[in-house]
Amino acid sequence: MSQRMIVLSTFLLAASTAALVAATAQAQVIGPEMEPVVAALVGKGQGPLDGCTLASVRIERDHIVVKCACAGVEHTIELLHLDRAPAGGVRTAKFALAAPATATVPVPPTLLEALRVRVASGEGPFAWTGSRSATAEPIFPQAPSRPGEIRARTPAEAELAAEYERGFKMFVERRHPEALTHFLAMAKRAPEYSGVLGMVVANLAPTQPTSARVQELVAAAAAAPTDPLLQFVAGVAAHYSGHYRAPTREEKVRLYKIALEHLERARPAYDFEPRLFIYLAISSYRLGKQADAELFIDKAINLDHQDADAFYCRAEVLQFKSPKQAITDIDQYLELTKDTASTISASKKRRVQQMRAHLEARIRGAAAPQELWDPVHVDRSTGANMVEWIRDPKRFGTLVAGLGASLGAILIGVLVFRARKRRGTPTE
Amino acid sequence: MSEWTISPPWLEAAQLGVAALLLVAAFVCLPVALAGAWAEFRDDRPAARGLLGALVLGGLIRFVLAPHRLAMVFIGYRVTRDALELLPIAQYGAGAGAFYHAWFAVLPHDHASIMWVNAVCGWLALPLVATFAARVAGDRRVGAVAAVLAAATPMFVRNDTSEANLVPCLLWLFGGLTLFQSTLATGRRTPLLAAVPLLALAIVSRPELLVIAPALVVCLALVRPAVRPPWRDTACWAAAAVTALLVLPHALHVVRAFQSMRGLGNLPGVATSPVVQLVLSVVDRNALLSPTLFPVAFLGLALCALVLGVRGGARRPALVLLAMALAAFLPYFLDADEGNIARVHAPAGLFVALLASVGLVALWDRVTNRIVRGALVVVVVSSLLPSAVRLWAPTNEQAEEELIRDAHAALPQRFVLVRMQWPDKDRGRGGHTQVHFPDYLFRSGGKHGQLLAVSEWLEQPETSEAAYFFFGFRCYAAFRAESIPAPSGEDLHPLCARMRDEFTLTPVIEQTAQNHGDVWLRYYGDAPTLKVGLYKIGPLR
Repeated sequence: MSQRMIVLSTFLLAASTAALVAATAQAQVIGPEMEPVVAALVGKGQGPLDGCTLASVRIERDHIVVKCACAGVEHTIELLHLDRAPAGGVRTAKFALAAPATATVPVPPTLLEALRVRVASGEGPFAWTGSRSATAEPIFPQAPSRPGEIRARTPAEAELAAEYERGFKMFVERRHPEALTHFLAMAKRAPEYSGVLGMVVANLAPTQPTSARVQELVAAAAAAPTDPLLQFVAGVAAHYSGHYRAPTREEKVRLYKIALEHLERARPAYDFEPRLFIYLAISSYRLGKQADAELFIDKAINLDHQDADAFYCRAEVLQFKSPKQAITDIDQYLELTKDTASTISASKKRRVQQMRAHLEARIRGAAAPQELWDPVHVDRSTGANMVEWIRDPKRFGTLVAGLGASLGAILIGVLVFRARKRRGTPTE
Repeated sequence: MSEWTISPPWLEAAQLGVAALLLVAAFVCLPVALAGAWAEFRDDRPAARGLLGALVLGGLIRFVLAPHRLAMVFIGYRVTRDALELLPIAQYGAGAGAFYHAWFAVLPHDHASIMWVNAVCGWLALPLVATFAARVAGDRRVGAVAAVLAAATPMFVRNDTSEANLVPCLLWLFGGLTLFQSTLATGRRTPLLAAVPLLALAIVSRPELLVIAPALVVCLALVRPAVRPPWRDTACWAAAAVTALLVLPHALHVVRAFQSMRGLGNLPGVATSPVVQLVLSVVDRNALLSPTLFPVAFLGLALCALVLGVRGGARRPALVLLAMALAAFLPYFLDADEGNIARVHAPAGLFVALLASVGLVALWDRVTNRIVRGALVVVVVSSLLPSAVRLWAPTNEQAEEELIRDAHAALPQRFVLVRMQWPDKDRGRGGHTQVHFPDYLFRSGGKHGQLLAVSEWLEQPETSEAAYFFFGFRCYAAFRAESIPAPSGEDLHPLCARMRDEFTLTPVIEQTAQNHGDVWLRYYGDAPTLKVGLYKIGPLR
């Protein structure tokens, strides 16, 4: 009986711990269904805040940006998830309120407090959404320009164009695995068909390949060392795995090296493809090879002056060496993507605009350099997630009761065991 | 106290981690302490019957007879909100808040839940108080009498049936003290191991327990010679070190809170001369010297205890109990006022009641005449009555609570509720009027309310949902200093007056309520009645 109790108690203890760990591994984002709620909680359409007018409210993926106009001065306040709260900051039950890191004009404490009260009174219906994706929404590669615009001169070209259209429809409908299979088959037969390799990349990236998937592709590439498509796919998969999934800098470096190795193998066969050079450039840059990166990215731009992603990537390559040029490249990216609403979301564009704003602040000396394009995707501070987890009374109460009961059961088991042992010991 | 965070996130996380750990340990340690209480009385039938009677009486009073009421003037709503949200950690510390927070896993998100949890804690503390008293006096009859007094004294019952976060602290404190007593009496280390989490949990729940708990432990060691003197016992020093380590994050938090409150002027004992404040707290703001708050007979019996001593004539246990009462009383001089002394002096009152039980048993042994014994009982029981009347006297705050419940029932599922709340500014009379409101009630249990302060509504009175105005007693409240007489008439807050004058208000609930005046705090005018209610807000007049 006592041994069974010890086993049961240990199981309860393990189950509680497992539940705790599982619950902590999520970043918190704002789901699209929260948009009307956000408008209500900041009081859009309501009166002034501490004498200031609510100028605008903008939802980013994982925070809200509120701008207030106060006697000709604009103040920006961000509503962050609590696990991103700065020390000593202002909080409600669900938000931390803070001025952005790039703010140059301090926010009046009375305005901050007035907004806090308003948010606190209206945040009831709001809920953060747990997301397993990384700290910021990935910026997936843009789909190449549609070859339907290219006149098909032969029946074979017409057939390829129709096949491309079918695949493009899958891409637009976000059926990426299906579209990837489709375009891989197409690239095997006609790699030089305009945009095919680009569509392979455009559908591979959103799958955010895991390390295990990369291993499979690398193994397939090793089994067919002369197949440029397999080398290309392995290289791109490794690149995106490093970008989206790698939990440490070291893992990123390992995956970018794999990417570089396989993309170099595909280069002789695919030297017409701008995407190849984009990935060569970025993988090189992230491995610290600045000169190689600049050469590769310029080649990519030369191959396609209308490829918005090439400019975006050159901004990354030049962000520290020449931030002004990087800003120019971002402007070019935004210009080239302004009419592509079906494939580039508003939130992606906003993130790019934030990058631009950060670069400007860096030029002014108002912001410290930080990695914007390729942050390490760690679990957001286990300590902070733990605190947020504990704030749910159900979880906290269950944890305490579960662990307490387990501890009690273990001790009772030990006492019963010892009592039985004493009774069982023969007296002289 | 403002809504600003007191401690940085790392310190809050440390406090919460410690609190969670200690709550888990309390699952085991508290039953061990209660088992010790059972073991103390099981061989003494008369005393055990007395204890059982105290438990039945205490349970009847706390769970059936005594109405559960908020004790703090509107601050109870904030205490509940803090316990629900857990962060930022209030100035008291993380322990009690985390305890209530855990209970909200199964109980409704309501201050009534906290009051029920406190009633259970107060009832569970009775056998521990009895054990403690019995061991200090060396007489189980003292323990049984102490349990009866603790079960029936209105001050303790009122505390136990309120939201006062001192209540679970006393449970843990007495649990820890009785376990420490076991170690002192037997030399065994296991009880000490169980005492540490309970004492630490009590300390991290209230700032003053950082001083009171160690003082009580030291006093306890002086009652009689221990099997193993604690100051020569490495285990005791190790236990003290572990406790100190556990409560360190709380201590840092308390220091920050103290500095913040001093800056806001919320600690009158610091603003004026501490010596003057100390004297005032003993002479003037002393619940134990007020017959309408604390049974006057207990003081007489306590005096008897000091003169007559315990069985055998030893006076040291009585003197130690007196020292404990002083240790539990003095730290409150910093922020004692007429609004809180009935709560904060309850721990000191409990030690005086223990002293009184020593005196009562000593007198009982010396007085054999049945009539005199009967008169003694009558005197003690009748001295309970004035405090029962005062402590449950009707107040405007209790009427507000009832109106809030009625309003909650009357509101639809989705609504906008306008009520007095920060940033509705005080009317310039010191700025200490508490206007906390139980927003959590209106955002749970099927209600999806958007709650606005009156000033926010007046700035932009538009909404897509039906809007209501809670015209409660806080519209008439304005804290004033002792020297300022009550304003004549209603003394309506200008913001509430604007709501009444500028908008068409259709009554959903309307009452002309009796103005009970300043029962605990100086808040109200002298109008005999006040109009309150819940109103649907219509168009501008």
